[in-house]
Amino acid sequence: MKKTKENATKGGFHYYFQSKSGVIGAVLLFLMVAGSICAAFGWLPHNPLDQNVDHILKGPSGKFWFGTDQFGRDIFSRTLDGMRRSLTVSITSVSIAALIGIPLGILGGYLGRWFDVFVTRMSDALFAFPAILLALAIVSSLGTAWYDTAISIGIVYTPIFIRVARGPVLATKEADYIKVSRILGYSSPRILIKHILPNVTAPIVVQIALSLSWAILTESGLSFLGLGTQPPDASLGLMVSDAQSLAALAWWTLVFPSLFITIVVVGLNLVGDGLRDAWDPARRSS
Amino acid sequence: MTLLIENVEKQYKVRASGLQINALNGISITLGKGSTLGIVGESGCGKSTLARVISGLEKPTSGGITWEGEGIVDKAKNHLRPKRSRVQLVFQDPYSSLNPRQQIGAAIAEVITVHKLRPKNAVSARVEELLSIVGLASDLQHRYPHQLSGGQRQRVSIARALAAEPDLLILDEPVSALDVSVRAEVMNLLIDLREKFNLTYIFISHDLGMIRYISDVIAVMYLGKVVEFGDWETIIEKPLHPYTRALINAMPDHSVIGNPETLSKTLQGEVPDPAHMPSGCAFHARCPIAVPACTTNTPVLLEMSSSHFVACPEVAR
Repeated sequence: MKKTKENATKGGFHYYFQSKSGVIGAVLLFLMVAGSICAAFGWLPHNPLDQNVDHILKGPSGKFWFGTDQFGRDIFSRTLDGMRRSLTVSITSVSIAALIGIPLGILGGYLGRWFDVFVTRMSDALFAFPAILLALAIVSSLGTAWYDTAISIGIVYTPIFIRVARGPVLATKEADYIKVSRILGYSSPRILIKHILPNVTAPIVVQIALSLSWAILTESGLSFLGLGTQPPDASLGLMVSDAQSLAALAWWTLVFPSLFITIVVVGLNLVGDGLRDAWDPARRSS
Repeated sequence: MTLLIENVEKQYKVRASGLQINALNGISITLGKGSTLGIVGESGCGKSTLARVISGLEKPTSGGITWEGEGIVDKAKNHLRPKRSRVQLVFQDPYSSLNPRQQIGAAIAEVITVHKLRPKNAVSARVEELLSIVGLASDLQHRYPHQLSGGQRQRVSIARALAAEPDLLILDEPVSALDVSVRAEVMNLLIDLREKFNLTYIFISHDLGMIRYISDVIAVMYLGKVVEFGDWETIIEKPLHPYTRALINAMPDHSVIGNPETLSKTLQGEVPDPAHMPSGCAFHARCPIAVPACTTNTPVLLEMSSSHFVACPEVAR
């Protein structure tokens, strides 16, 4: 009894760190972000662009922790720099998609009628194109700067957020407690913000975490096709695609960037799980 | 001062098939302040639709509802201006009628603050008062709905409705989803509250036993129509309409069980589809005393006494 009262006064962070997956995810993500920040400030053992003909395709050593690539560039430095670029693009693109898609989906589901028809048809139209093809088309008309890539991925992901937000709103709108709110005379904005939103956040949060990891992969795909990050700059996806032909000869060129992609994706998913658990009072272990 | 329901009809269009569902087919009921109307009928007879229409949640297709001379606020339309309704509704399912992300104290306090029913510093005292009125400890206010039992949740729903200080409380099967062991407690609570706050109730149930326990007057509904209406003693002891008789015969009562004569009188068949209303009397296909005229003539409520109305010319004769 006393415990319930105490918990009620503590914030969401308290619940977040009760979940094991949340803690592990946060640690993984913290390491990745810290590495990216180091790269952003240039705190790296080597310049990621410096070529060194004396050290072509050397394995991991004390000097080159993750080995070197076919131009003798330090893979550790390039991986951290690529991480920075990949995270920047994926966070920007998912922010664009979420900021446009979530409000449209929620309003479409709540208001219904012509607005909902307009929103769903628009997202259907975007869904009709294969994601990478649409991103290619947009990026080739915009340019190849990192923000062009982010915008194109953002547009491609917008309909996903429209759907993820709209479905739960449609279901929650029909719940008895929403009908009660209406009979109690609450205004529409109040019902939407205080009663519908808290009950649809869980799938949206999970979707954000998942999309961040997909965006990293999409960015790699675009880079692979020559439209994302341009050589000699590094991005995780570009490094993996460059390493394809070298993997048999020098495993470290493929393994380290792939490993970092995996860690980010797993970390983001765990954070998504942790947030979902912290948000849902019924899942809180108290 | 009364609740006046005049010739209310409600139809739903099924968009896919173009069919029209006739949920309410001309309901007229008058109910005096402070008394309790019990509405009984099978699933699909329009009981819950009537509850939603009276509460203002849905607009009737035609007909009018007034409470003490005022129209019931149309909540479907007026949704930007918060207006406290004097009619509140308690739903059947205590699991879906509370917001799972809102502590119950906050849910009750919200009603008070939105309508400014108490000064800010008196809100929490009022929440505790309402909780104690419905028999809940005040330290439950920091709990989430999933931490409460069904009976406790239903008490919270009642407290939240009372927070709006209503005159008329519609109870849509308020105890049907509860354990049998807590039903009686909630029923007694409702009866106490009615006296304490001079409330008028509309109590909806498919269980005549519950209806008899709480009601002053009873309306028996069949396929969107009232087929018999009157004081509870009259309806229970001298039912006239063959449908009411069948419902009373179906009550699990010791005097009835094992009596082959009464068991054979229980109803056969299903309620007709409200998208294809039968001609004449809606009940004729299942009626044990139907005559050929029943398939063509639509019965109206006939006055048997000042407190007893029945929609069946065969028994009225």
